[in-house]
Amino acid sequence: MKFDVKTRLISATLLIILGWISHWLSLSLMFYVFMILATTLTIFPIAKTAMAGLRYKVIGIDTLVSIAVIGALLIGEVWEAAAVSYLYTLGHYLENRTLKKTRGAIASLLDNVPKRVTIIENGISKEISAHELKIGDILFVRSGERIAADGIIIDGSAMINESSITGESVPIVKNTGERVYSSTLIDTGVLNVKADHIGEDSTYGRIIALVEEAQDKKAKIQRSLEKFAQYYTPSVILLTIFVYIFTLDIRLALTLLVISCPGALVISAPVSIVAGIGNGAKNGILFKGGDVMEKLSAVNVVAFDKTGTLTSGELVIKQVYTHQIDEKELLFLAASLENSSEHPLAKAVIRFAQQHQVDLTMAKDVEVLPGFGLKGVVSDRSVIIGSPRLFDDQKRSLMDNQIKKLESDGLTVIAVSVNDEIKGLFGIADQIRPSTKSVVDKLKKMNILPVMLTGDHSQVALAIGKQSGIDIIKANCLPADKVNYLKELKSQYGMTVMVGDGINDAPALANADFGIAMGSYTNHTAMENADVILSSSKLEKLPYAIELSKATTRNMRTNIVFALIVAFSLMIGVLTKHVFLSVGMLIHELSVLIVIINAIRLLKFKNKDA
Amino acid sequence: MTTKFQLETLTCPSCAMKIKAALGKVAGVESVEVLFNASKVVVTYKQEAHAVLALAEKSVEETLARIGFPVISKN
Repeated sequence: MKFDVKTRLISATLLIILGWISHWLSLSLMFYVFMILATTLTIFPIAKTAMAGLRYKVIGIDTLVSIAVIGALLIGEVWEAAAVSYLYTLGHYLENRTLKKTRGAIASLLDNVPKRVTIIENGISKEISAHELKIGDILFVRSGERIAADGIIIDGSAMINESSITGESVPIVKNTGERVYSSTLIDTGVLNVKADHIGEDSTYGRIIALVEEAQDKKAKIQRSLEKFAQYYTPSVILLTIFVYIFTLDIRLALTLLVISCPGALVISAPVSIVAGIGNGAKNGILFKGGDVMEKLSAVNVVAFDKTGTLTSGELVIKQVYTHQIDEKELLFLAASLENSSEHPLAKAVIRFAQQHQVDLTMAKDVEVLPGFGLKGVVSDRSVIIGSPRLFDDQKRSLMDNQIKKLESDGLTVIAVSVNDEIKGLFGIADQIRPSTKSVVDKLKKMNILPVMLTGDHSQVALAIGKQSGIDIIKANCLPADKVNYLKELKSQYGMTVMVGDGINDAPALANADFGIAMGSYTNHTAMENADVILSSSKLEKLPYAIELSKATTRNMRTNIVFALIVAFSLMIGVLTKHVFLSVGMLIHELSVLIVIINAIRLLKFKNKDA
Repeated sequence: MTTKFQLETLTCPSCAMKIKAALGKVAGVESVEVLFNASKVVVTYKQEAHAVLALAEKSVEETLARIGFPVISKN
């Protein structure tokens, strides 16, 4: 006969009820028969794995429970035997189900990966399993489907929801020649995509691999717990033997065996961590392990890189200087020339012109010059735009004072010449992110010290510091300076984390002993170097990441303290003979369940002001 | 060379000790790592087992099943 756990449990429940009915009807033989049947039914699989374990000289909790149950049967305690093996089976069944829930958030990440894909081979489409997909295959993807690999669109266009990669759920348009990512969802449209990164090599595959690895990276506290548990079980077994030898109390000895595996204690930390990491992953925050959450929960200083972190990295014209030319005329000439460029500096000029209602025209004979310069003809005038260094000293000398002034204000200067004469200067600066100020305020409220590290001049740094509310600023930093200063901060204030965009500060992030990268998951270097990754450059996720780490660490500690108290009380209860076999097993299994359910609460954790 | 075995949900972390001890005695196995939350076992094989990897994998799988942890998938 083959029973699954559910059938076993239902049958055993019925048998136990029948047993007690017989007992009340004073049919004591039937009581024994029913209880022994219930015991046999539930203990059989436990004893089977226990025997298998013994073949490898491994004593597990299944061995101890089996000994306790058989012992109880031998001394005639049939109800106790039935209760212990029944509760153990039921407990495991419930733990299995609830544990699946704690792991559910992470498991659901896999739902974004299509299991079957349609590929086009020799002009014919066919459906294959995602495992069979090869690099170079042409994927055919329709609306409502997820893309199965990273690749380039070779035909078609579509609105794509890339939230699984970027955290941004507003669909974006992508056309032939553009890159698409596995797990992203086609909102409307049809695409043919040539796969170039598949499976674990795809961007999404890396995310999953990272989270999968993270959930088993242990918190510091966990290692000591595991040591404790490792010695706890053999010690209790030894104690059992001594107790039996000295008291000959078989009931007490058997009860000790039942409580010798500190299940709740061993499980307390991992369940909290898996739930915490799962919550983060759902909210676009990747933590690389329980140890990372533990560290972040205790953070005292957050050191920000400036460019691309506190600022958006998007450039804006702050000052314009003109020389014998109308400002609108200058903007018209400069922006018309820049209209053909994708460079951030060009975008800044074009945006500025648009804001000033300047209509643009097409430039002719456009040529790219070194140092982000451009040369071309606009409305029959020859225009050059670029760094002042592009122009010879004589022409530049007329503007030297203005250039120096703009630079001392911390602005990046670009010059515009018309018919070979410098006619204007633009002072360009980076913008702080809209969320920067509120993030800094939140950190201060959490008693965390915000600090700015930047390679820029102090004037720029001071201005950004003022706008974002950061008082401690370290400017003119080389990457090595950043690393040294981080060490200083750490020795002075304690736990320090570096936050950067993973591009401008890659070396500092890699060398800092604890770093957060904010940026898209498509930046593989940042993903490798950082301990925490905030998706889609959302700085506002930082306070949430800290709060979640605090909640997870708190949850883990509560679980550990609870489990220790239960283990200790159980031991006292057993030794003082207040707790006997079935009650011991009941408390043991309940404590494990309570620890798991407490961890499940973490999945529902939300930021109060998010 | 390593193989990752996906098991059914691991419920008691003390299972980890049991799995480690049992697999440690399988011929050709160099080291065993149990990932509790992922419910996975990562087995690294000794150099001499590389030639007969399929065989080594099979005996690991059988051992796991025998001690109560049937393998769902491997890679």
